[in-house]
Amino acid sequence: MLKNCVKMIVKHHVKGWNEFEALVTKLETEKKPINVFFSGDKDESGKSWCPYCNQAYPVITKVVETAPPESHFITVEIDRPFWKDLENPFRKDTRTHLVFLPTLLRWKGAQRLDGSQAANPDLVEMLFEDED
Amino acid sequence: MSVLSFVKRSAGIACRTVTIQHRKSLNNIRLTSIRLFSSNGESFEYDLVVIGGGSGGLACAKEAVQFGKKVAVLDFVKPSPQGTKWGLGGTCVNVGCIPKKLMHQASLLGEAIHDSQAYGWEFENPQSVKNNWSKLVESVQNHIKSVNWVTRVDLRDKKVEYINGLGYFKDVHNVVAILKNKTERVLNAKHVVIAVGGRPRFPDIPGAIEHGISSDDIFSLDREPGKTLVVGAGYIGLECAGFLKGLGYDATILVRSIVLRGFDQQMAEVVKASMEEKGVHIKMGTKPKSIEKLEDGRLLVKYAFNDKPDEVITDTFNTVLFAIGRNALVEDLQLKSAGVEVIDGKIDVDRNSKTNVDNIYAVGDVLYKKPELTPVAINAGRIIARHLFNDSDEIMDYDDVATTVFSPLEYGCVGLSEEVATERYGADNIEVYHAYYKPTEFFVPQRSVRYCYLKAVALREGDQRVVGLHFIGPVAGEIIQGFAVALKSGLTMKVLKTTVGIHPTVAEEFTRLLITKRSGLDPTPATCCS
Repeated sequence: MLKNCVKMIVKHHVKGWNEFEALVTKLETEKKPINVFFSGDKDESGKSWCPYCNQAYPVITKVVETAPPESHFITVEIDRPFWKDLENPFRKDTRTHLVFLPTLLRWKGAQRLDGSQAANPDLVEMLFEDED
Repeated sequence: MSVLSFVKRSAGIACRTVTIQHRKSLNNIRLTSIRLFSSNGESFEYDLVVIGGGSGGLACAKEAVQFGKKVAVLDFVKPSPQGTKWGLGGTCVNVGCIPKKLMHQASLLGEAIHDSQAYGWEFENPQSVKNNWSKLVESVQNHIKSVNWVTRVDLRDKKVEYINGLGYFKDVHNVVAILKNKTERVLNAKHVVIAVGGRPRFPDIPGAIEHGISSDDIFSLDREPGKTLVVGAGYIGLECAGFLKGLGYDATILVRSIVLRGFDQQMAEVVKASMEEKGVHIKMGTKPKSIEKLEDGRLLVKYAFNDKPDEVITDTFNTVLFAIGRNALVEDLQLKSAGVEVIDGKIDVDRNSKTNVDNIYAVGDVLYKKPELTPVAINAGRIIARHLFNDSDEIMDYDDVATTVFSPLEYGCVGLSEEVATERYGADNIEVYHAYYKPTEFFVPQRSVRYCYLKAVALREGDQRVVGLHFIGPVAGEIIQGFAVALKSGLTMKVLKTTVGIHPTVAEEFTRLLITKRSGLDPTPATCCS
C-alpha cells in the first residue's frame, strides 16, 4: 500500500493556455503518458460555469487515484470568456483541437472523452488505463 | 447500479438472473457475470458472442444490446507477413475503405493543386509540389487510431464486452478466446455470430511472402513506396495503383486476365484506359514468377506473359503489392468442433444469415457468394440481432447494392452489368443508354474528358425499367448513392428522362441520357448546355 502511495500519478493544476502549454511542453520530454482534463474554471464555492465539468470533476478525481502510477495528470481550468472566443488556442491548436468542455484526453494520443462521456466512470477508467 | 439496471432489463425479456459472481477481469471490463436461463432451462453466460469486431460483427453486437442482451465481441488481429497489425474495428476501418478513401483523397488533392493554377492560384515553384508519404501515413493512422478509440468507447458505453482474443469453437455453445498472454477463456453463448472477415492472399511464388506487401501494409508503410508493382486488377489493385500514381510514384499493374472481374466489362475497360492515360502501366495477361531482394534493397521481379511463359521479363521495384484476392479467416475457428460447414473456404448462410448450425450465424466477408462490402455487413449484422432478439422477420436484401471503385476517375454502379442483363433478359429485350460527357470544371484546367462516360441498362418494353446504372467520373460514389435509391424504387427510363437536372453537375448526365447503343449514334456530346 505504501509503495502505491509513493508511486502515485503526478498531478498538476494550471490555469489558461500559456500555463498549460508551458507545462505540457516540459512534461512531454519525460515520455510518460500525460492525461489532461480541460474544464471550466471554478468560482469561490468550487463550482464551474460549465455544468458538465461539474459532473465530470468528481468522477475523474476518483478514477485518477487508481490510475497507472507512471503518468502525469493535468487539470486545466479555462475561464468562460476565453473559452467562448471561437479563435482561442484550446480550440485552434491542432494538438488540442477542443470542441467541448469538459474534454479528457491523452496528450498526443487518440484517447479522448468529451461532454457527458467525461462523467462516465467506465469510460474515464478506460481512458486512464489505455496503453498507447 | 449498472448491474441492477442490467438485471432489470434482462428480467423484462424472460431471462432470470440466478447467480452473480464477482470476477474482476484484467481490464475491469465487467465486474459481474450473470448466467442467463432460457425458457427451456438451458443456461448460458452470454446471449450472444460475436467472433470478429469488424463492421458486421460490431453492428450485430451493438444492435443486440439494444434489446437488453448480454453480448461479447472477440477481436484479434494476427500480424501480416510483414508484421503489420492494428486495432479494433476490422478491415474497413483499419486497412480498407477508410485509409483507402483518405489516400485516394490525398491523390485527388494533388491533381487539384495542379488544376488550381489554371483557376488563378499562385504558389512558388509549382513543380516542386510533392506529397510527403510519412506525413500522409501519420495523418491516416491518427484518424484510424481515433476511430479505434471511439469504437471502444461506444462498446463500453453500450455495455458490449470487448475481448481482445482470437476465438475458436469448442462446441456449438462454447467459444474459446485465446488472449494476448496465451491464456484461454471459455465463453458460453446461446447464439454465436461468425464475423471474422478475410485477409489478403499471397501467390505461391518465391519471395512473395518474404518481400511482398498487401493492402494490410500499404496504409501504414514506414517508408515511401517508391516504384511499385501491383499484382492483381480487382478494385483493390486498381485503387492502390491509382492513388500511388496520384501521389507521385511510378505504378505498374500485372493483370492475369481481366480488370475488375464481376463488374461491367465495358466500364472496366474505360476505367483501365483512364488509368493508363494517367500514367499507370498496365500489363495485361501477365503473371509474376518470382521476387528477389537485391543488395540495394530493391526488388527484382520476374514475370511473363501468359501466352509466352518461357520469355521471362525482369524489372526492379521498390515495392510489390499483392492484391490478388482475399481469403476468409475460417482456419482458426475450428469450425468442425461446432459442425459448421465450409464451402470453398467460406461459410454459407440461409436467408436469415444462419449457418447449417441452428444457433450459429455468419456475416460479412466470411460469407460464401455475398458482396464483400461494409454497409452490406452492417445491415446484415443488425438484421441478425433483430431476428434473434426482437422476433423480426426482416431479411437482408442483397439485390441492387451500389458500390464504387475509387480509381483516380471513380466508377460507381448499381444493379446489373450489361452482360448480366443481356444474359438474364436477352439482348433483344434490353436497351442500353449511354453518353460521354464533359464535366464543366474540367475545361478550365484542360483535364481529359475522354473517359467520362455513363450508361443506363434498362428493359426495352413499356416504361423501360432501369436494371443497372453505371457512371465513371468525379465523385461517382456520391452520385450513384442517390440513383441507387431511385433504382431500388423501380426507376424507369421514362421517369429518368422527365427528371430535370441540376446544371452544371455531373450527376445531371443521367437525366440527359437519350442515345441508345442500338441506335448506333455517337454518344459524344456536342456542347454542354443544349
